[in-house]
Amino acid sequence: MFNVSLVWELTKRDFSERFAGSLLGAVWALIWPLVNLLIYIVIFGKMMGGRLPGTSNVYAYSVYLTVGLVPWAAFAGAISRCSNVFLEKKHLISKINISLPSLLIYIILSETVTFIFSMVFFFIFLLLTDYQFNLNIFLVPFIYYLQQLLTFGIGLLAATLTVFIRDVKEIVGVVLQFWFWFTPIIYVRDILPDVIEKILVFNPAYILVESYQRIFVFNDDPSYRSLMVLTLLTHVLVMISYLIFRSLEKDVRDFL
Amino acid sequence: MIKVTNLSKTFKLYNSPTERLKEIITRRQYCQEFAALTGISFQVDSGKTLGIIGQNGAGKSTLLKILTGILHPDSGEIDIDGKITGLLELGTGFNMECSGLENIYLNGTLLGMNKHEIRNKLSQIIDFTELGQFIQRPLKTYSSGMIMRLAFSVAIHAEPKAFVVDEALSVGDAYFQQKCMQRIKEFKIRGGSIVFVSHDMNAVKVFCDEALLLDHGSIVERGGPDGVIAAYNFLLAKKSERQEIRIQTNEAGETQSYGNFKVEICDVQLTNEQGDGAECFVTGRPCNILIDLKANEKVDDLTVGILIRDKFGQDIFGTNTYYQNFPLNMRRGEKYRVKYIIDELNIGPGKYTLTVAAHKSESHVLDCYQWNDTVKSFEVVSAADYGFIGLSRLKPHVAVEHAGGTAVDDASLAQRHS
Amino acid sequence: MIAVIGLLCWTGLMMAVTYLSWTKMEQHEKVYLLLIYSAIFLSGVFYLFPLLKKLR
Repeated sequence: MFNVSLVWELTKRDFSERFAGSLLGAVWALIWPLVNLLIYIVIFGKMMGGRLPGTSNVYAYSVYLTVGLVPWAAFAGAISRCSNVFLEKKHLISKINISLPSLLIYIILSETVTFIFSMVFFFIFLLLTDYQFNLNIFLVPFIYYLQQLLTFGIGLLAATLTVFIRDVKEIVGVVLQFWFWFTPIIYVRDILPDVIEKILVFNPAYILVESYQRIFVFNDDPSYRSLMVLTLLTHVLVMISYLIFRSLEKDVRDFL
Repeated sequence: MIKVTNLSKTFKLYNSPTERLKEIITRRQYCQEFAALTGISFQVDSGKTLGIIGQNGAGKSTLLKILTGILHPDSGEIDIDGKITGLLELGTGFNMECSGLENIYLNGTLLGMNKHEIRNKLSQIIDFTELGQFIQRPLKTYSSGMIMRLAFSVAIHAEPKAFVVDEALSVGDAYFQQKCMQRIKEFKIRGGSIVFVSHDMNAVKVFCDEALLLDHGSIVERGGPDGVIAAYNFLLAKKSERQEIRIQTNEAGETQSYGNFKVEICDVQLTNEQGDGAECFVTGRPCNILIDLKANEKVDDLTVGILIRDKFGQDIFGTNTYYQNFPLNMRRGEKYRVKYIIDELNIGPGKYTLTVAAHKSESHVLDCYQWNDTVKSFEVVSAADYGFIGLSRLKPHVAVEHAGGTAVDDASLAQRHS
Repeated sequence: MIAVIGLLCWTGLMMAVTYLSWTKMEQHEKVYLLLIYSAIFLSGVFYLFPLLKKLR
């Protein structure tokens, strides 16, 4: 049922369809991450002169912003698109036998491609600014994998529920908006009131973003214990989502 | 091979999808249940075609969707040895902005081919579409016929073990249709199974080895296509009225005639030019069909029809007194003899069957008095004086004209020089 | 460097195991098995990496 070629083809199509008919075509898939990166680095980091407490590097805030925003874009983008994917791809689901989870996987893959492009540009920027790389950078793919697994768990749940309650899609949008501001991505953790800072450890997005920030900005180890707890919780969530999805799959197909 | 055992599917009808979740949480029932399919079992062997007929809403499309895996059944099992592809989804996922070539890749993967397979078959697929240079252009520049050709070509090259075919085959021009039929025949010879759903009874007769009649989600008749189609006609007639309907069957238990018998067909005879009963006729010579009727009730607007079918069950010729502008009225107890006098039986040599019917007005669907399937068989042999092949004896005149040009041979050359 | 090589070996091993299980199994249940593998894999990464780094 699960077809690797199909997922790959859908991912490719996701890019080529978005830019179909345009002169530059898929090159736009490269231009957008570059533009975003320039905004983070030049406008927010350099021009607005953001300084990070405890660092001397002029680009520290740019880096801080980028390693928070780029993964968040992949995370939030994938979740919000996943939540609507069954309805959006209704014309396929009601006509051919397609494995429904593979539709989520293609969205996550497509967001990953954008993420990789952004990261490549980001690394080029780091090289140009004589950044001191440390070994922990090799952890990034694994943290990203954990992040997108969490995306899959939330996305699958949202996608299944959206079929029954259309409002879920909007609710997901609102929740993501709050979630973004509840996570220290563009601000630093220290400015939060103590009460909120304490409950921050229950925010899975914070654990992920903080890991990136520690690796890139502070040349530090991420909190391995938090990551292991999150690994466990994420897998449990994906399993529960998948169980719910399996028990409702028949109805999902009937309703579409 | 396709094997289906005891398949059932119930749709739950909710006022809104939210009620399905309410149902799970509160464990109270909010829905109305609608049994789309109940206890369906059948088997299609390799190289065979099964026809599925039935009225709209009988569960045909639900069955097809379950066979292709789009919907999941409530209970029952489906065994398919290999890939099954539906021709219902011709052109699924086509993108109008993309070129034909790109669409082959997307549609092909949707039909379960991997990239390698598509690349290997790409030239075959493109050749079959006969699109030529158009394959590089975006789909929006195509005509609808070209899109169907592309879609069919991809589907037929997906090489499944089993096909589910809808009315989709009736697309494109006659030439392309024939090409498609040829491919489907080859597919059968190679051992593929086909499930064929159609409202076109002729196509079912020609195409299928066996047929099923679905009504309200269950199989009400199965067997050879002819018998099942007769049962379908009977079902249609029954649906159209409340009155009691009788079915007469022969010794083998096959449905032979049905109707409400307000008018009864007592006897049918075929006679030749001498007026003797006959079973063998010469093509182009006279033939008479005599139908004896008895009215059990007073009927107005009676129509008596005949239908000649060939050995494959294809309709060759049919007409009735309505089409011939011959209105009939009968009073209770009256007897009539309707004669169809055919001066020239212009059909080709072969074996034929005759079906007669008495019904109200134009069609037997509304009020069928009696429908008598295959009441007579007869044979037509070729005439010594007029040779031809095929089913119909057209009578062309041959005219030959000299269209200019001078014959050049030795004799004429010699004449010109002298 | 040991840490990176160790990470690669661990990933390679888990990928091979996953691939084998995925192609050998037919049922939907393999999804759950895969998730268990994935959990072991990631926990392994976050457990092994700091240990291997200290080895240097």
